[in-house]
Amino acid sequence: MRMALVITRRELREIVRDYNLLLPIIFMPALMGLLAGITALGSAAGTSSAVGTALSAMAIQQIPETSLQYFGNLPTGNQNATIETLLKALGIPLFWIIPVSLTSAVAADSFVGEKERDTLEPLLATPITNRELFTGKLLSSVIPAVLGTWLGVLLLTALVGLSNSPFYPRFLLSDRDWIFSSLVIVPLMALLSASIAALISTRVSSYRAAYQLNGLVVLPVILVMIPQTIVLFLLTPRALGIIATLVATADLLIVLWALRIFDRERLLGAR
Amino acid sequence: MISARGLVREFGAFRAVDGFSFEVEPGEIYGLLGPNGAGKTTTTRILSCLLRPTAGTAYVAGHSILSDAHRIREKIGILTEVPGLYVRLTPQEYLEFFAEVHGLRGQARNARVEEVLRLVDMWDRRRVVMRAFSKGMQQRVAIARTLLHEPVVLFFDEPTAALDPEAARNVRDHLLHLTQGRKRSVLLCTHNLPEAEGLCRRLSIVQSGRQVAEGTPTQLKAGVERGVRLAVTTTSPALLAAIERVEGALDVRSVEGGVAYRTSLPAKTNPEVVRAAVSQGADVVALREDEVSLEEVYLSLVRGAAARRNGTAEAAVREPAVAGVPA
Repeated sequence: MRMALVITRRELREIVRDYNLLLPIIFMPALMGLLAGITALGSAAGTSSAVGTALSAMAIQQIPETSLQYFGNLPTGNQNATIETLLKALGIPLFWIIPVSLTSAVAADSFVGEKERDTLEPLLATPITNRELFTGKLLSSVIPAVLGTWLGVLLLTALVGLSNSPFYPRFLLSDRDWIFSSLVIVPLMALLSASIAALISTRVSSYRAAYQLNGLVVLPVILVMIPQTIVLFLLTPRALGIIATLVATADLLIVLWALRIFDRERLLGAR
Repeated sequence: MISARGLVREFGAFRAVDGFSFEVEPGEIYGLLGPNGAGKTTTTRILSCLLRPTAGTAYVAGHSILSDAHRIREKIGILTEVPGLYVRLTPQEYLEFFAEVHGLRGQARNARVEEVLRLVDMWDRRRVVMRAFSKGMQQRVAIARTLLHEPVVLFFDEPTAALDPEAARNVRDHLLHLTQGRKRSVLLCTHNLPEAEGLCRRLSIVQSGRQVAEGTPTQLKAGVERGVRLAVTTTSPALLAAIERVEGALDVRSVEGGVAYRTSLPAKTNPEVVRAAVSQGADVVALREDEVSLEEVYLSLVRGAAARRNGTAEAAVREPAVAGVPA
């Protein structure tokens, strides 16, 4: 593990000095946090004060109560509580897109990028094991993405605190779903994206190809969001737990598979 | 230190290395000379356990490349054709990274990094991000990386190609120090023939994946056709005819002050020529061979091998016989 951390530290040092990588890591989560925060600020006066919340209220009125009870266990007796639940269920996955997107650029570059810059051969000629190398690369993709996402969540938390909105808890991170999502699901999502991107990066011949293929990784996250928008299911604590379990399982399988097929010769373009 | 036996590497239908065999002793610099695509880099990659051979085997620093790659990687240093640096790091950060990868920690790491940076004359620039470095400066840092963990076997691919004369001289001196003073083994891939001649105890000349010749520079030169001038007081048609009859004497002609000819077998031909001249009553003043450079040897061998491969008549005429490698 120590060798993996040596690689991670070196990679992070390079990322910090590359504005093309660093700026998206800061600005994308900040923008997401800001936009979500504006929603909170806009909803501060109640259901009719913001378009989004008004639409949510209208949408709820259109949904049969039995469906709401069955699919989401929405607290339909209290409209504010219902809107709060909906806003949370739609807001939390927004912050899953961030780690998935942010890991792409770094992880897609991890192996094929080094090959293109001719830095891979000296590295592969050292006594680093495949596991150490792959782990180090994964961590260097996951850590900035998770930190960036937390930055966005913290910004949202600050704006929610300022808004006094009736649809959010006063301190957002006192909500166990937001905490669970931020501390568990966000790192797992980042790892999922990073492991797929790194795996692709070991198998393709150019960074561009790796990046393009990795774009497909965002699809599962969208597949989680779309059903929610039509209230097919909602991110209840149980749903979050299931998602975390599924993503963790996928992480484990992909990492094990990637290590199994890791081939130094192929990395050098010899196969 | 390095023992390669029948190394073969194929990429699909293409055979990049076709049966290389050689030994590199402790304290020896062994040269691999050949044109681009001859198989030098592939051989280096096989020996540094970056590629597996399709056939054959090798031992590096006492370990098999087939079963002990990790141990070999601990003991080798490799300088690739391009420096391949992390250019957003400083030389100090870069070398500290590789030092840690090789298990150096704390004060030992710092001392070693300083030592190699001073060796390649980059200590004053240790805190400058390498992005703006010239190719020569990058090459110096790469050489420092190669030497950092004091490897017992070093693979150098064109180590001085991008260096100014003084830096190149320093690197050559250090290579000699490593081999003569510290008994390290070096496999040197180069196109720089004077450098190879000056550094390498033995050489392989390779072409299209095959070893064309192997031997010391002197052995390689011995088999190559060169000009010879026999200085005599007077020449005559009978003298020229007598020399033409000597086996191995080619292109015999009269020149001012004597007779000139060419031979690829000087050890056998020259004494015969002198005897023939004396038997014709000539007063032999001197016999002087033209100096053969390694470049001439190289060009002769490589062109000969190419011609033979293409099946031209030139191959039969000019292909020299060199000890160590079957024609």
